[in-house]
Amino acid sequence: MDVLAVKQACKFAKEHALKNGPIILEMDTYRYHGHSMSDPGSTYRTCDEISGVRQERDPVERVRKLVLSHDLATEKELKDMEKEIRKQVDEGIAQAKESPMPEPSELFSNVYAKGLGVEAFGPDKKELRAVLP
Amino acid sequence: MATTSLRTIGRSVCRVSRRGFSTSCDDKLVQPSSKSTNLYSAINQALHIALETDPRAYVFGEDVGFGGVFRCTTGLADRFGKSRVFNTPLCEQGIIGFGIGLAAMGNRAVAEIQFADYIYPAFDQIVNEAAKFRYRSGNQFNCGGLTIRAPYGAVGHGGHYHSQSPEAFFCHVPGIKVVIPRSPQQAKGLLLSCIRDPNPVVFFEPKWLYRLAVEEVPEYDYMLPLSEAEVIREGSDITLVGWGAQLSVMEQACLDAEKEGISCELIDLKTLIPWDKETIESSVRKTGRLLISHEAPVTGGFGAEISASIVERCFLRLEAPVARVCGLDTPFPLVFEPFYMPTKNKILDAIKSTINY
Repeated sequence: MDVLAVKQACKFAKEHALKNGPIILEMDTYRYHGHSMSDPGSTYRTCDEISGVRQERDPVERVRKLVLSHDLATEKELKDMEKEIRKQVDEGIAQAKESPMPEPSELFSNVYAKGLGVEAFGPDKKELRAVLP
Repeated sequence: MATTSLRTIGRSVCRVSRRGFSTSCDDKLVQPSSKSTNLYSAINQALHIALETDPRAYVFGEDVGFGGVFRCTTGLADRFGKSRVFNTPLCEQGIIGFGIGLAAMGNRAVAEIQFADYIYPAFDQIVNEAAKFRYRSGNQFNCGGLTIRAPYGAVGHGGHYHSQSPEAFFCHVPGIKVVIPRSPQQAKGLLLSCIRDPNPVVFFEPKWLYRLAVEEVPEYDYMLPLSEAEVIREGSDITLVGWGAQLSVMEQACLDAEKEGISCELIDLKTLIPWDKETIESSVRKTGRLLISHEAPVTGGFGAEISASIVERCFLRLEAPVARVCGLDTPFPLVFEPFYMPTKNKILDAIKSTINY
């Protein structure tokens, strides 16, 4: 899994498509986690397989090594970047957890453009109001 | 989706109110060979019987090979082999297209769509191909062996892609049947009828009841008739019509109404098209009032069709406008699911205002 290879392949595919017609790109990807709580992701593959992919084929890790070997950044700069991103994510999660529940009126918001279209209604409202542009 | 948490809800609620979610009143079905069974196991039994009794029956869909996300197809691949029970690619249009072809060649194709919310990519195949196969060939060909199973409805935390009730879309399509069971016993008998019916059928399973609803289910092979509604509770003041998971909610409203002296007649429609107008009509002629309840949004829901037909037939007998207690006209919400749902109190409220009209 190589982001530069994807870029190259897409460049080739675009040129090919414009010149010669359709082309199929098969993307070789990998999913570290299961789909849901009913699929822990370990019933149809081994944990060794997953950690093997993480160690040998991880696309982020590959770019990290490339950056380091070409002296585009130091190990410390990358670490700091990671820390900063982790902080942003943690703060986002904390904020989401602390936020109050939305107002009940939000149930009807964004079904249509505000002020235009049909006002959604339920069994307690007998009339339907429509506003045309 | 979060099947594990569904399972947990099922277990914890079952202990408290098992009775409320099962409406077994057909005593003749409960025989010594019956066992306490939940809805997904009843479906599983029906699929076992369908494959066992017909060597040309096949079960397929996303993940059905290992039992499906709701465990409805557990053990089928081991018992009947991977050539009769198998996984398909993640392509609903392909699943149904394949099913139509299989059925057209004289097989019984039981296709699973993992969630009713994901049946829309297959809408063209169902509406334009399956439903019209017999008609457009002048009865030279048909795909009557096709049955499409899909879990529908709310689960408490499913949000807009795991909670929808799309039955009304399919009720607008002559050529297919739409069937929704309310309990394990009903699910087994109706599913076997659907699989063996010579017409393509869409069978929606109430996913909330997969583990929640438990009742005595006969172990033997039995079928329940399609297009026959069932009066599951007799009453004289108002008729309530519903289907699937909604019936247990309506039944609780009936019990509460009874405490206030209102006698409710509750009818399970079971087959939405072609539907049993006569049973509803004779009930409304008796009670003079009608309430319909479903989880799908009220506008354009199948309740509207029932309402219109019954008004046509019973206009002079009606004592009050037909009441509809349904989902709101919004996409299915996540945190506001309790507001969206046609809950017991909304139904009770509508019963009272219909009685006091």
